[in-house]
Amino acid sequence: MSNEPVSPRVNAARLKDFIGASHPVRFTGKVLSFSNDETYVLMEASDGGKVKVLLPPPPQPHDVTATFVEVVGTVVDASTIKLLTCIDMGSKLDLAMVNQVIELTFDPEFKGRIF
Amino acid sequence: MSDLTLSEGICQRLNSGDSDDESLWGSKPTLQFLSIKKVVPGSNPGTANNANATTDRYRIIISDGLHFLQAMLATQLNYLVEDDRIGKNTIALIESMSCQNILDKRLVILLGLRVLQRDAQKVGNPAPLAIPPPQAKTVDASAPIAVEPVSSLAAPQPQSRPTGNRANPVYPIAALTPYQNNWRIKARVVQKSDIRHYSNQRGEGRFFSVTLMDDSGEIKGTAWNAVVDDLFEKLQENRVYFFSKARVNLAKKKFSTVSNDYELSLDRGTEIEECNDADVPVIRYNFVNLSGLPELQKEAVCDVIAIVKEIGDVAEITTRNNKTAQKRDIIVVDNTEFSVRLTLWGKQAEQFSTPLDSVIACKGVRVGDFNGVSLSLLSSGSLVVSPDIPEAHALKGWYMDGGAQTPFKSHSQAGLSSAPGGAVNRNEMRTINDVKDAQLGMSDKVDYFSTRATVMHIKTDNIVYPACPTPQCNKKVTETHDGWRCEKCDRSYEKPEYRYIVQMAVADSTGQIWLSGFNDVGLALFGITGNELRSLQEGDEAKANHTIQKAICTMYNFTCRAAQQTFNDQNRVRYGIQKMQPLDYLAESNAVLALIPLLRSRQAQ
Repeated sequence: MSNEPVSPRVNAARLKDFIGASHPVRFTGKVLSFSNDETYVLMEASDGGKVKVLLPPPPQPHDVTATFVEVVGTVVDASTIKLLTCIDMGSKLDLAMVNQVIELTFDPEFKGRIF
Repeated sequence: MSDLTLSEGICQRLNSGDSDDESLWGSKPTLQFLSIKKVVPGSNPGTANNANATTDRYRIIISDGLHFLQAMLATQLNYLVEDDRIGKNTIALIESMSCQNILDKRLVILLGLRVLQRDAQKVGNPAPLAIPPPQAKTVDASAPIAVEPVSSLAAPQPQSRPTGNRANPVYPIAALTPYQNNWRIKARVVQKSDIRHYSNQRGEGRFFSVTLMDDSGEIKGTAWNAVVDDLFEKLQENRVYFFSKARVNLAKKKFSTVSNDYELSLDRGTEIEECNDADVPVIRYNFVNLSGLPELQKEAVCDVIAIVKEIGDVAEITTRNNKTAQKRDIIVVDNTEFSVRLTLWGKQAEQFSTPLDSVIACKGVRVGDFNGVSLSLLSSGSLVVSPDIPEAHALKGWYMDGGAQTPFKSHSQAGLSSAPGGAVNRNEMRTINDVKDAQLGMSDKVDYFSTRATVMHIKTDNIVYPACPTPQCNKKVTETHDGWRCEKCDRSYEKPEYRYIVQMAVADSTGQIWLSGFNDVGLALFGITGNELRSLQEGDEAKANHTIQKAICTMYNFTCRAAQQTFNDQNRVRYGIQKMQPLDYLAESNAVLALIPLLRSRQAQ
């Protein structure tokens, strides 16, 4: 396996490192609002940044039903992700802690060991 | 700079003046502290019997600019030194002091002072005072003392004061120390013990003790052997007396729960006078709500006020020493909507005649962890029925107003006893490998540890046992021709209560061990009672297994107890579960995250 992890968890700041990458990323965050036509969801990242998550066009169902979700998707640009699938994380999640974990996985000291 | 003038000449007067001179000892001189030294307890007279002294004393050299003199700081003022409010060269106004004569030296005791200036220049060039002999005027080395009855009333002996001179001020109990003999306290006997007998290598004897209380605090007083006969009838509970000339010793904390570093020995010379003033000290309580009991450490002593909800019968039980003791359990409740069991012993148990629904205030109640939380009234404690204090009225009011109907929460549910070290102590978390490496429990000592692990396997046969349905009994019952018999309760039951006895293997990333637990562990794992699981096992085995399987792969924080057990000459360590808690993932994550910087800093070294 190459050094690049499979679908790493990211926050808003790190999206730019994965623009156009062929493998998806995991984006854990809080659902803020849906667009009027349900084409995208506005979400808050674990580091506070705002990101747009593009949803598959209807009638395809999206699973963004909970307050906190983990979106697996490809990065379109520094503030947009295209949703492939999503995981329900419930109604309570400490994003600060999630952010600490994300930063740790990119920490050079641990990067090689975790993935 | 120093605008303050010291009371010149006072040191001379303090040193050689009358111990009795009210105008001298009641004066409020301004003095400078030339030095303050901590005195190690145990090196002073009066502490000979107990090397286990706890309070520091501070010796201060006081100066009035002309002379300096030794003084001791009363322990209640120790904080002034510890908070650095007084120090070298501090100038202070002495608001209250007393004197003590030790051997032939005079010691001034500073009972109250006001700091005028914390730091100052040393005033004057004070010289030491000559030690005055106790009888300043009449000692003549050559003349035999018997011949001259000439005025020795100039300076009376410190110990044998004429009884007429009883103008001694009343001291607060908190100010009593072994360094002071001329004190008098006015205190209420809040508790009197029975006469007890003892025998040790030196012989045998008897004693009884009283707990004395005034507005400043409490102290225990004990009378021995011959003195018992005189004092036992004289001292009545709840009466107020003046006490003086008892010996102040260091308290033997093992035998007393009274909060005072000292205790009194009431002996032949002790003077006790009844006091009929209106102004008498009232019992001071420091109540804890029943809901707050779990927060107290086991063995902690506190006071409670509550309503009697249920009264058990007096039971006679045999103690470890084969002595019989009377005990009675009562259930009490309070307005925090909790109920708890309170155990009474001895005479208090036998004579308990308080009606249901009355308020009782108990002082000196020890917190135990029998089946959750329990209370036990100490022999040095007291129980007052319907006391005339605001808390009692408030409680009664709440109870009459419908409080009686509230469903009370009990602390004794799934009550796992808290091991010493309390609940999961994060700092003491160990990995399983660590537990094995450290050989916990392998010595004769019992070890306690905490670990976070996942349930890997649960033994399904013998997961429950038939137990005696009597609450608290839990002994295994055997099936006989007429039911299930419990040896401890000495009776048979139609149906037993099935309780869990769980053996399971748990593992973490370092290793795996077997833990055993009882009913509470089973309840936490499976969510159904032992009876229910057993009926499933007999009826719908698939569902029973499914229930058990569901518990696998769940992670908990365990508090465990490791101890050696002998099985037919084989020594094995067995790990028992004291407490089992499901994980609060956020808390656990944060704890682990906190460890990472520690890891980094260690790696950096």
